[in-house]
Amino acid sequence: MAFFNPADYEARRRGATQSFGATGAMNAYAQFLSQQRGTRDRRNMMDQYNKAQPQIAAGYGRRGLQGPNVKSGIFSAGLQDFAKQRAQGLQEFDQGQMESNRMYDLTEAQRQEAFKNQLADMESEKSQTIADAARQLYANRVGAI
Amino acid sequence: MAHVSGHNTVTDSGVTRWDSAGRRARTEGENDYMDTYGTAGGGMNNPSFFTSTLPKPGAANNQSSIDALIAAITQGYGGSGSGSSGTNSAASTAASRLGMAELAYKKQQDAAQAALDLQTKNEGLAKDASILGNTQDFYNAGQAGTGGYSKEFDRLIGMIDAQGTKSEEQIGGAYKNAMGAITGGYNTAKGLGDSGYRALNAYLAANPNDPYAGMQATVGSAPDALTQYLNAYGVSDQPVQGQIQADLLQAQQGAGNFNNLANLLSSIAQMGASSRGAESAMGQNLFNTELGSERAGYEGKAATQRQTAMNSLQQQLYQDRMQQESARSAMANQLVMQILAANGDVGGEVTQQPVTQQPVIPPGMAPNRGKGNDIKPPPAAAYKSPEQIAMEAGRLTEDQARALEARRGY
Repeated sequence: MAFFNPADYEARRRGATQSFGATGAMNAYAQFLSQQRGTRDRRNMMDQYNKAQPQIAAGYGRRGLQGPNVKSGIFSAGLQDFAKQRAQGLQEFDQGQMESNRMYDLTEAQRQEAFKNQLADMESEKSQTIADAARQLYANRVGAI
Repeated sequence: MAHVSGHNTVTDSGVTRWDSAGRRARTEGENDYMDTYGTAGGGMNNPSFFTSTLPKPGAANNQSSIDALIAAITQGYGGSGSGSSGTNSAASTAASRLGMAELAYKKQQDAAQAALDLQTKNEGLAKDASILGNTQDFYNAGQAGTGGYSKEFDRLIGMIDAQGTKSEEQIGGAYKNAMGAITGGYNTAKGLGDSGYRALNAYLAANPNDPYAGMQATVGSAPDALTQYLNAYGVSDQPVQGQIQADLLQAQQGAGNFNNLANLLSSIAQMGASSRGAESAMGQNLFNTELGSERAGYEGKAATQRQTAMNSLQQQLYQDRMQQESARSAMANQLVMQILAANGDVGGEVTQQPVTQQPVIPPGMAPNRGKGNDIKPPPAAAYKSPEQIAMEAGRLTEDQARALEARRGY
């Protein structure tokens, strides 16, 4: 006798929701930490680049490749390389940070999908159970005939 | 004298006699005795005359014995008186009177006994006639269907029919209740099942499972190209800008790939939702189909049970009716046999209440009235005294008969 038990269904639904909430909180917190870490790392990276900029110009100056009335191609290329490295480093860092965020978002979306699928499965199972219970009740009602 | 002791059938004088044990005897010796004492010796003056010549009460009163007795008396009265003296004449007269009185008493007793026998016989005949008439009435009324022996069978068959009607009504009521339960249960179950699927459809509509729908990957802002810094040293930032653009393009491609992935996942999720909708619709359709099939099955089962019960009932009613009709036929045959055995008439088509044979009931007898059969008493049977019988036979004149009856007190 597979009669419908709303309490069982609600208990299962509460359990699934609590599990979904717990894993969602973990994912959200991990994402928060990742962003925090990324922000800090990016700031450190910016600090390093900012500190390196004067040293680069000073280095080429000591070598006589840069200074007043001195303009060399080596210095220009070196300065452009520095700028490229800085831009590439920052972009790669930001891209990595965005991809990390996307991963958290994707994880969250998949988690939501799984949760909704679980609830939908339970709803479908519930409706099927109700239908079976209705048929069994019907059979019991007319079983004496 | 040819007297034979123990022989009681000698009828020389025609007088019926009884011996001391009451046995009837007519012997020649006794006739001689009658001749002797009836003429010269005083005849009936002799006491043995009465004991030897008068009939005993209760004896058969046949005509010949009465005639012989009258002849003996007459002879005693009209004796020649030869050889008798005056004293003997007076005694003879007294004895004759006493003898006549006793003879009258005996004759009265015989007449009473004969009347009683006749009454008994008539009563028997009347009873038989009454029984026959009642039996014919009972049979004819049964044949005509107006009562009689068929009445009780009609009542029993009526009870069977009434019981059958009631049983049919009960079977119909049970079928109706069963159909009501089937229909009511079907509606209840359908409502319950539909409510379950309605809740599922409402949930699916309110909770579309497509978390990738709003997911869009972005590239973000381009990093600083240190343009002012490079310009401060007279260095062009063009190569740096080119690299930044190249990196941005690559990032856009990566975001595009992610968006494609999100779209793919979204479409898969939408397909899943659509599949769930189809699943719900199919589940509900299957539920309704199965429920309808079960309903049809229950209805068919109830109809079959009703038909089976009706068949069984009809068979039982038929058997009961046949049993009663068979018993009715057997009783009719039995009545016919009884009527025929009593010389009754059972022939002819009975179209109305038949006229029955009226029994002959003697006077003083109450008519034997059967149930519903009013029998009129027959005319009183004519009682004939022995004197009247003798007169009709020509053995006595009318005056003699009246004289004898007057002496007997009639």
